[in-house]
Amino acid sequence: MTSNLLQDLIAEILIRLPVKSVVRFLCVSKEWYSLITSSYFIKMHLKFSIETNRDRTLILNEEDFAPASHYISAVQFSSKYNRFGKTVEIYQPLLNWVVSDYCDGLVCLHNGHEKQDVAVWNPLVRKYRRFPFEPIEEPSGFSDVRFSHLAFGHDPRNDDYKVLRVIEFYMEDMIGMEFEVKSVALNGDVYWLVADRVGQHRKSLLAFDLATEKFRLYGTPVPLENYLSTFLDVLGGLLCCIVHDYMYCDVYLMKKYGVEGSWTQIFKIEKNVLCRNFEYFRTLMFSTNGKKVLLEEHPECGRTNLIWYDIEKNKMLQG
Amino acid sequence: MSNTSENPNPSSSSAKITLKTSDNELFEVEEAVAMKFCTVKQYFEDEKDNDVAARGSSTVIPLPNVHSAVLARLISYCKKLPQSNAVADNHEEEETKKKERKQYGTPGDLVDLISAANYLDFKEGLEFFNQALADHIQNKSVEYVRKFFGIKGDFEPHEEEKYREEYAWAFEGVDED
Repeated sequence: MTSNLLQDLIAEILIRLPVKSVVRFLCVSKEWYSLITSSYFIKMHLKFSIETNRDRTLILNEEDFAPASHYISAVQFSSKYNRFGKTVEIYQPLLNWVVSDYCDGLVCLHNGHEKQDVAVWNPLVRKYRRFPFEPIEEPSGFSDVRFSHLAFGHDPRNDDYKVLRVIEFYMEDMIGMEFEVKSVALNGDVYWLVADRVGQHRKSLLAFDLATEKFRLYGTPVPLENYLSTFLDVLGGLLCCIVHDYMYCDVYLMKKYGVEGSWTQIFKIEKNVLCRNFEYFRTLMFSTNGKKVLLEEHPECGRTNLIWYDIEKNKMLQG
Repeated sequence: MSNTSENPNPSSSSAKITLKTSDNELFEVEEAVAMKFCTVKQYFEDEKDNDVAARGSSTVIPLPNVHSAVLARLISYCKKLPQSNAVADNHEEEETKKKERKQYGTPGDLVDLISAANYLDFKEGLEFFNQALADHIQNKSVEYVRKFFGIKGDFEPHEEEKYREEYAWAFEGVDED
């Protein structure tokens, strides 16, 4: 059986294969090797994976107390069965490192209290790269590093991945001021929910452009009330705000990227329709046909659960 | 879509287009089917612009790169097209789709179908048969793939050995050839 399928037709076939097959076919020939390792192919393959939920893997930070250790576990999504399978042991190159953030299937890991050791890991090809050590310089007048947070995202203009380190310093006589520095990265920007605009009734969205390295501010649908817990996530490639009330959880999507007016409520879950007493949830992904959303449910105590929420039927299904 | 496209039906009111394959077979197909092949559509529109009165509906469009056996399969695929577009959302649907993808011939035929769909600029068909071929080679060995595509392995044995060691996990659980 012979054929002379053109190189770009071969590429069209190979983007439809999972990472494992593509890695195996690296050694078919030098031509296939250079095709598969080209950035053009890698981008097409990634795009196809995202669109079809292929190779979708949930990476979980786990913690053991006796003896104290961190490890990472993985759950593979089966696009065939449209659900997550059992927890699988994954090859873990860096022991006791913790997941900070992720983007495009790459995982940003850190190690140590001040997160000075940083690495980027591709679990599917089982490779990682450690970053050079970058010391933290304390600005004058501040005494101590209190908290450091890492954000990881893709800079589409320079086609590069960047890690952003946010460090909180404090002065000795300062009283405790808690704020959330958890961010999400999307389309070359890193976002935080902030209560910044004085006199505003809603929280704002602070965006850091990874290409220009400049900040911008957007409005959100999130009311500025103390009792609400709010989360920022990425869902279906869009920014997502989750607002937890006493009674309800509202989930909003920014339907048009960077357009304040495009925040749309996609669903509202009444808390008492849930059988379990949970504290909050995060949105992880849509099912392949977009009718269900996978929620990461954090109960008041015990382990995190994964559950599918059927948007139309307003029903929970076990993950 | 009506199912009369392959056998000409004189009573049908829809316009027909005649396609001539590389082995000189004539296929009379419904215009709606033929227009899915962008190459045919382009040819047809050019003809219409240049020479309307003289030939009209009797235009024969030559397809020198497509064999009759392959064209017959593509046309039969076209007739089933509407069911093939939705995204599978569960195991049963995906299995049905896989079976669907298998019914257009042997894996070797897929290569011809892909080449023809590419030549005809038939997007849905190209995606469908590319996926069918991907399903077929997904769990195959490197040797099988080389043989299938007629590719000669050109890495030095020690280079190839290095890759196989480095990515040993990718060579586990491969189907028998």
